[in-house]
Amino acid sequence: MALLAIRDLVTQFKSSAGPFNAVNGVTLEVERGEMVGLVGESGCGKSLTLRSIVRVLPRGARIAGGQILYEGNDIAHLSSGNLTRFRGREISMILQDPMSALNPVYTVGAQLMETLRETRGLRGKAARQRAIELLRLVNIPDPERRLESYPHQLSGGLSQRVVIAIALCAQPKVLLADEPTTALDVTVQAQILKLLKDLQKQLQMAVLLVTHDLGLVAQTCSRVAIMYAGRVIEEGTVEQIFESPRHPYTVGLIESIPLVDGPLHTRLPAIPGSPPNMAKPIIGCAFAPRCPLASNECREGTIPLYDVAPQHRVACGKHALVSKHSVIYGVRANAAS
Amino acid sequence: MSQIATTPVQTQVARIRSPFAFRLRRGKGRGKLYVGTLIVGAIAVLAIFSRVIAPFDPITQDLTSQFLPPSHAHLFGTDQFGRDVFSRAVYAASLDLQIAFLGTLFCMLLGVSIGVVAGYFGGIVDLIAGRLIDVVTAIPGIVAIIALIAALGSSMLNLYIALAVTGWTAYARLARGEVIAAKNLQYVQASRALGYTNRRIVLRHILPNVITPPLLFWITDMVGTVLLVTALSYLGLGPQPPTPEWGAMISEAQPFMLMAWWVPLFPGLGIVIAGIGLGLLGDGLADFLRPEVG
Repeated sequence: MALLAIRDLVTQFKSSAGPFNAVNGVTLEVERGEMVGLVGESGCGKSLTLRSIVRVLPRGARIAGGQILYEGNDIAHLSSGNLTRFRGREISMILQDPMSALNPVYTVGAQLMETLRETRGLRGKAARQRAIELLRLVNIPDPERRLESYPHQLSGGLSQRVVIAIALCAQPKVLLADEPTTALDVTVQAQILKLLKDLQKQLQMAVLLVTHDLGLVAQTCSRVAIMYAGRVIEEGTVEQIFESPRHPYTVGLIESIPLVDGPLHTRLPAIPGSPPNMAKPIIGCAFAPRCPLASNECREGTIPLYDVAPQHRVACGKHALVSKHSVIYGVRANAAS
Repeated sequence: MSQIATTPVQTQVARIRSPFAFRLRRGKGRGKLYVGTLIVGAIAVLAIFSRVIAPFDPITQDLTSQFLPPSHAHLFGTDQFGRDVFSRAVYAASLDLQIAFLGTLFCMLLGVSIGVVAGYFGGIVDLIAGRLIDVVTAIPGIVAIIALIAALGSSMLNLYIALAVTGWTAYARLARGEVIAAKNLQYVQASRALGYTNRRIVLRHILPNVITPPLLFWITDMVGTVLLVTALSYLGLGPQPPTPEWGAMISEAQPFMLMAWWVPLFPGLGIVIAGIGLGLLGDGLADFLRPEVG
């Protein structure tokens, strides 16, 4: 049984034009101790999926359907009070911008010890001792002194380490990371990512990493889920996704990664068009308007998830035709100038 | 030469010795703040030490010395019962400031609590609180207070109840709006994801962010309440005679206004000065605490 299993999750926004499903039937599994990447372009619902798990949703959003199974128990329909027992203790979350994820008026130590007290019931000396251990765990030099620092005295990388330390207070089994490196410098990004990877191995913790950077996923994760328009459209191991993608959108994403040793003086391939308007109901495949392989049957009904290999599932009716070389977005071939 | 060069450095050091003094020196609206604090402070000292400062008992009548004009013995003269107007005005300051302070304090506590709960939990709670605010706001304040006092009877406790029931809505609105903004702060969301209890999130992470506007409004509200309470007791709905109270004193002195101008004048001045002082204090504090842009 998977540690965390999301089944047909629908998260709905209220809007003046009526409700629309920003997360539209996400199905995803995270096993104990594995690192899973959740990838997609802006607005595809990847952050919202993550926030739905701990139900820290923006105003007007609510879970409208589906299940979120944590160790077999559905936590999607727990009351907020009962969910608090899972938040931070079993499932923890780190946010995108570390500088604003810390309260500016309390010291690092105060915030760490507050979390230790809330989630573990540690107080006084024991809490202080544990706080120092946690800071050491995330490789912060001179942790005793850092306890007294205020967030504004920390760099972005240090702040993110503190945020991670706070998230680890109660030794959660799942860590949700919402673009943890987006707000950081490139060199710091690599350090934070390595830290997350090390912690995941050391603490046997499952990590669900949301990002729009495929390269980052390839380096760190064992499995990947690709999202488009509120659905997971392809899911598999890193090798499966990068070596034999079976969804035209995945192919397009991989093709559009700039290569250091790629051809010069050619345009970077891009997927034409733009993501669909989520406020309208989507019939058939959401990607069909932009897909070079789309035919009429792609625009009808709902596309199910096909099992194409062990652990490899794809939501594309034409998956048999798709390979890295069969889907041509046509840009790389004729754009030389 | 070297002496001239070191002078600015020395002032810099002197300035940052106390962070509060440093900000006060630079802050905008410090004139208003100083004058307001001075006036309110002076009235507060009079009020707190009224027993020591007032030379005569404010209630005991002395019918041999009616309507004496201001003199050394009676600084503000005496009224129709021979009572010392200065002593009565000082005791009245104590009572009026107490009502202004406590009456608005209860309003603020009630209003901020309701506003924070409504803003934080949203949904149906917010809807109910919002409609409640609308209903209370729709009834003109002074009419509601008069009706409540008429129904409950005229006593200090009932006056406080009437003030609190009608006056909390502005605080609730202010707090609710601020909480809705603060709820979206990343660290508030992070603390929810970390499984903090709602009570801790509200008290430690939201309240410190939202309390400044209600606190500033509190001072301004005191101005209104001083005027309201004196108006109420002028109409006979506040503390009853012979209790010294500015509004009641003016009301009692009205028939003798032309022959003994000093009887209504000094309580009147008390109201005006207290109003101006609190107004300046509130205004200056608002300027002082408002974050400077640029």
